Amino acid sequence: MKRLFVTPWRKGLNPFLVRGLWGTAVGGFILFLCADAGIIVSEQLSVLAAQSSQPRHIVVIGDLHMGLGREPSGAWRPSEDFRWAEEFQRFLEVLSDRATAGTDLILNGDTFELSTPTVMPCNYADATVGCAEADALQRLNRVLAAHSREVDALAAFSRSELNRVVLVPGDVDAALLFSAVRERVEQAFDVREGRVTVAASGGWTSDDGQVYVEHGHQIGWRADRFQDWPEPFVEYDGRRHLGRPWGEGAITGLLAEREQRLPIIDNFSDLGAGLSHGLHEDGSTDLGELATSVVRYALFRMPWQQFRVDLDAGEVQAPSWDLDAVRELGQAFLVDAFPDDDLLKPLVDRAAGTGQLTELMESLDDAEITAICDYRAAVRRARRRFERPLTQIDPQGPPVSECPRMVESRGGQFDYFWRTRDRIYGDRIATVQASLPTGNKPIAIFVHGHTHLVDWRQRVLEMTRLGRDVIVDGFSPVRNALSPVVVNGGAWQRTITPVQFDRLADGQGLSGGELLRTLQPEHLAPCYSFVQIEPYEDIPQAPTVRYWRRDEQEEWGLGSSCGRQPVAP
Amino acid sequence: MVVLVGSSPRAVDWPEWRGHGRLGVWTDTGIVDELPERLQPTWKVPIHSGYSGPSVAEGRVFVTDAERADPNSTAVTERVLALDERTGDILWSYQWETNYAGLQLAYAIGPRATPTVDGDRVYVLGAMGHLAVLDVRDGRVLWQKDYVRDFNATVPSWGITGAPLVDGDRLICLVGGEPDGKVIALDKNTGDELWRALSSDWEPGYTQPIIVEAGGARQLIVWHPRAISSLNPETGAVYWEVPHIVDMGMTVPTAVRSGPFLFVTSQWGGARMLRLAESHPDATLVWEGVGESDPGYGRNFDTLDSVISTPVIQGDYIYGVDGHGILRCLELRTGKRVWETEALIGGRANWATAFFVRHNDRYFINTDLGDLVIAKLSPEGYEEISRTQLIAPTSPYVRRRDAGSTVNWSHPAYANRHIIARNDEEIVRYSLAQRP
Repeated sequence: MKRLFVTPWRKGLNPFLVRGLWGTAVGGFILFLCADAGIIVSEQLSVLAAQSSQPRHIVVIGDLHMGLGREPSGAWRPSEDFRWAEEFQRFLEVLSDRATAGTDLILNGDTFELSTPTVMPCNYADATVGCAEADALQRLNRVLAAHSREVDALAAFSRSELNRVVLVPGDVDAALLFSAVRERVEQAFDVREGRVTVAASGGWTSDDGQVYVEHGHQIGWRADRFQDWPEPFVEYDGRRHLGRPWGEGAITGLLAEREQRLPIIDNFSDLGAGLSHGLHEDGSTDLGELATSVVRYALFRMPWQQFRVDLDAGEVQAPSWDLDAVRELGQAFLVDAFPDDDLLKPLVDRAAGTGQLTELMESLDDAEITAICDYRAAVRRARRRFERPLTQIDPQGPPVSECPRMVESRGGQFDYFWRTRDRIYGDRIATVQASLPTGNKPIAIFVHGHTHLVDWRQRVLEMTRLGRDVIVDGFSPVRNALSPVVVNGGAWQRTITPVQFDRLADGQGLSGGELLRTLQPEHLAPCYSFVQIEPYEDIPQAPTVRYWRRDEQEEWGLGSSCGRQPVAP
Repeated sequence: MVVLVGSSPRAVDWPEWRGHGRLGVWTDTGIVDELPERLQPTWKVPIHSGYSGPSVAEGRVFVTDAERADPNSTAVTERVLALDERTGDILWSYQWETNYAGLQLAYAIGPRATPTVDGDRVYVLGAMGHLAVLDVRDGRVLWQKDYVRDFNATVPSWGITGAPLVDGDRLICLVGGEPDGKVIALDKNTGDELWRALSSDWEPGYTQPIIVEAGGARQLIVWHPRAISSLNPETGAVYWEVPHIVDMGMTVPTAVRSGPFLFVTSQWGGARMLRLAESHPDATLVWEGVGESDPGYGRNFDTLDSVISTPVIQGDYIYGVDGHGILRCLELRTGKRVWETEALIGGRANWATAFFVRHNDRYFINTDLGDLVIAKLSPEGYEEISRTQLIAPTSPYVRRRDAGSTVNWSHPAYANRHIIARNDEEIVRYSLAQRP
């Protein structure tokens, strides 16, 4: 018998979360464990264990990108993304006031700009080698000096009796995994030991193991993925250095160079849109030796979670792509993967014309081709029905074509394009789970960031049929289940979506390039996303995406949406 | 089984979506002035679920439905039934197997399109694009097509909905086929393709094509999520297009024409009023009202953004139900709001709808809660004459609503002094004739 309306407590991996959503939580004492969140010395254990007897509030913010601050003239450096000390301080004060039993505030990666070439080159003959520990420490000191107010605010927050602050390393501040850098950060806050820690394991796990937070750059085929996370080090010239992911070398460099002229280029959500705009603005006609990197980056950045999930509560099956036919297409397959209105497409087309993408095409394995085909099909569906409210894609041209399907999987019942997404996130959660203590409960909530693209709220129709609306921020990589939940918290940063950018340009009668050259981060909506998980005793409730934003009356507050648009320069 | 049914001397049939010409006009005489507190059915017949309204021609009633034998499977059996108009006896039925996987499952309950009757043929369309042409007398299949298999169509989220439109020897279908087969005209006798038009880069939408005469030409109006397009129904050549992007593909209400004006409305895209040129086939935008996708959209609802309900035009005014169940009157020439009321639906409700059928100077209105209402619409306001409960709302509705969690989104047929309505359990015929 076929399955259709499988209730998640029969299907899901973590029935306790589902029970939690249905309000049947069972109380229980949580034994405090400190296995993951860095070093907490024994003298704090008794204090914190006592604190942990009460459920704690979990707040995850990410991608602050604190850089070198201001120029000697007092003007912001173009590369400085974090210009928001005042609202950050007020946000932390509100958090402190709201929590009655203490808050675990997780800074989920890329808190500090420690690898941007404009901060310090760390360039070596071997492109896979990044900064040495001493270089990274020097970078950190400059950033901390430029952001002393924010550091003080975090320290004040962590001094509050029950609060804790954890810094999870990201790709840009992976140097936090150097012991000297980590210790320097912990010292900088000048609070009692154990209040502010760096997650040396590369991610943060809640005391009971059910909530896991990591930056997200290690997921799937991402460009900034390190080889040996959380020990991303290489020996070079007799010293220990950070490794350098291929994406950092190729893409971060491109963005950093352009950020001097185009300050919001890395404020796009997602980041790839900024790269496209930047290259287009340059008038670039040839990607040159970066062709492979740029195309690979563009094809595998894939913000999967932005596409509709509420249509797939049923028996939709994944299509079978004709991989042989795809391979016969050669480089044309890569070109066809870009919609006609993608600013990168002319460059990709040109690169293919000179054979620069042959090697990339030949290097793709079946899983990677399937991922691109699944993504193309999902983009195509979203574009064909103008899903702007959900996807933030504002199509200006025809949608991409599908990859050739095997004949037996044509038709409406073969439209499950999220299989790759499910596999990518499912594999990542399984990998993380395997690295955690075996006594931990299974991960029920997986929070990540990195793309700056916050997840949209989705209604799960399956639950609606059962008489209840279940609203989920994010998605579950287990079909027809609500657990585990994966949620992208976006960035505690001012961002702009491609749709907002295009509309702002249209409204001002400006070309994209003209707007890009004049727009400053201050023009973007005063709105910062984060993920919160309410205190729980045994079963975590579904995570929610919230926003710290300034409303039309210029009042700061918490909201369920931004409610503001970018303004014209 | 073949049963010949005689037609009345002056049959006022309802052979397709919104009746003759898709106009939503009922021309019967001798109809009640007011509705009784409770209507007594002439007959009622159990059927399965579906959204498609019935059609009536030459003494027969046609309706489609679907049955899911296994509630845990998306495999369904779709069916067309022919019933005796006077007795409700089932004359014949024809069924086919399909699978609703890929549709938004909360609404995957059955066919959408109203059967189209043309002489001795009835054209029926399933939710997944199964088109069957049958002999009205015995249900014999004359020819059939599958939009997915034969035209490489992608079924949109809420299914294939565009009822086939007969024009001369052509059967004009909203297919969404590829390449360039959003609209395909078939030979109505053989099923052979005659022409195809409009790119399927974007979804076909859910509206019903209509034919109008304007600018010295017969024009096929196809309102789809990318534009309002006018085609030559004989060749498929494009006369004109007015760009109009409607998010989520939700072009559901039927375009309405009145004199030189052509009006469309949708939840996401808002309203567009066009003026049809007099001297040649062309159109210009007169005014527009914002939809939910537009940056200027607010909560004042000055315009008309209908989700399902097809509005009506009377004189210099438009009347329609917006996406929140509000009946609203707008000035035809400006789009300016004249009045609004919650009295028809009985409160605000997301995606609420009503079907309007004009009868002389009044309207028969079917609300999605199953009420039948007689009312007059004028710039002075909404004047409800009488109301009765017609049929139980049984279809799923995924938003909460004070009045309940089910709706009736099937357009009834008005024919031969009767109304014929269906829900997901039965089809019912009531007399609306004046008592002698």
